[in-house]
Amino acid sequence: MAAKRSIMDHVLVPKARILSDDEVSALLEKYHVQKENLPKILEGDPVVKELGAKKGDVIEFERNSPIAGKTLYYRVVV
Amino acid sequence: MKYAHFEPSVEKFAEKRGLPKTKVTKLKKAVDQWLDSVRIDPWYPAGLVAAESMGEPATQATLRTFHFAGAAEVSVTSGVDRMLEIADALRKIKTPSMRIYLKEPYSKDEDKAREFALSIQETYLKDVAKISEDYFSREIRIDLDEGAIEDRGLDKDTIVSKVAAKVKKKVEPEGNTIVLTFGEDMPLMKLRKLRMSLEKLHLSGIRGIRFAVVGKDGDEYVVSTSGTNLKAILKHKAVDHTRTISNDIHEVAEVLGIEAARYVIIEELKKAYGDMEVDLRHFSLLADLLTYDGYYEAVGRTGVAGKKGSVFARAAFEETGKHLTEAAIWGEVEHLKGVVENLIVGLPVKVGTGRVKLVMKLGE
Repeated sequence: MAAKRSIMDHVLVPKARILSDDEVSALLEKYHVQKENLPKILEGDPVVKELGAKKGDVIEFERNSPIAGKTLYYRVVV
Repeated sequence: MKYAHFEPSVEKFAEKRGLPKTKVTKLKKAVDQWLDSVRIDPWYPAGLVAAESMGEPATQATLRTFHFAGAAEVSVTSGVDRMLEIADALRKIKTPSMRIYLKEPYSKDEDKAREFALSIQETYLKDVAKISEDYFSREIRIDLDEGAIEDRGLDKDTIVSKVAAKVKKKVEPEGNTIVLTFGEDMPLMKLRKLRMSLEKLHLSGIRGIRFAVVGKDGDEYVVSTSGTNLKAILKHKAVDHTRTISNDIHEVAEVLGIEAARYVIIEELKKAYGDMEVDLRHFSLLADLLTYDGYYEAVGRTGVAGKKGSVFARAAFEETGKHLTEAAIWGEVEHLKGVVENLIVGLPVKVGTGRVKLVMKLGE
């Protein structure tokens, strides 16, 4: 009956997408950091698997914070 | 507006009050100004403030004891015990528990919810029967408890067939008793091993869920469990897979990913602190720290504190000798950038006003 169940539908899993190379360099420029200074996410993480991200990709999470509304958070796949 | 994500709510407010255009712009400006004023200052020691804000109430909570009354409740660790579990990232928490939201019609019908709760409770043969062995006649006797079987919504025939499948021979029950007879050549050790594996014979339910009760949340029925198995539960057809959650943070990180685990850390900290008011931002800072490396790690020497960049900061925490010798061997450099390092050597801590240098402009 229902479509395949995905963990991405879960309320606790924030919206995520893989950043393009241009976006990554813009991001690193904006925060004056190197890629390895970003928070990390494991390659085996269920969300990474769902997105099909590879090592070195940067993933953008759209968190729903009760304080600051929508906030963006970045993690690099290691 | 400078803080764009506040714009919709400000506009909504203005529309509700019927404010004219000029006043709306004024209001937006005022909101921006206010938001500027509540932003933390440069070099504000956010981590220290978070630590103190969480630490002080924790000292108060030590004195409180919690009691649970009533049988049909799933008990959950709270207070200091739970705070420690979260901060130390314990793999085996004292009271793993899940909150299962159901799909319709299960969520609206109490009987159906009960039936579901019963069906997921794990049941082993030893829960519904007394098993004894007789070495002299090489027998295993299984005395089924009819009441227990009924309580758990099972029936005798399925149990008998499961036992038969396990021992790979024909089983004939007499009343409520099953007697398994083995020949003379059956080694005693094997008999004992068989008895033990029969005790653990899985009859029904989902592995890991020891107990499940139905409760009410708003207008729907939810199931609380003692013991967790999030992965299996999310696949169950009666379960709402978008809201069901476990309090085992490691499990959530494994099944739903590190970001979901971060949310659970915050939620669980909130629950652990209960009515002691601690600002959410402190919790989220800690949660960000605990999940920084992509997995859920403890605060202690194996986790956050043990991975600090500064030798002195690590040595000041635990295992002083180890860190100092290793740093000497590898020629580590102490940059004196953090708080602890500067306290040790007696320099101003590089935080707040300790971080800025003032130069006077003469002749103006």
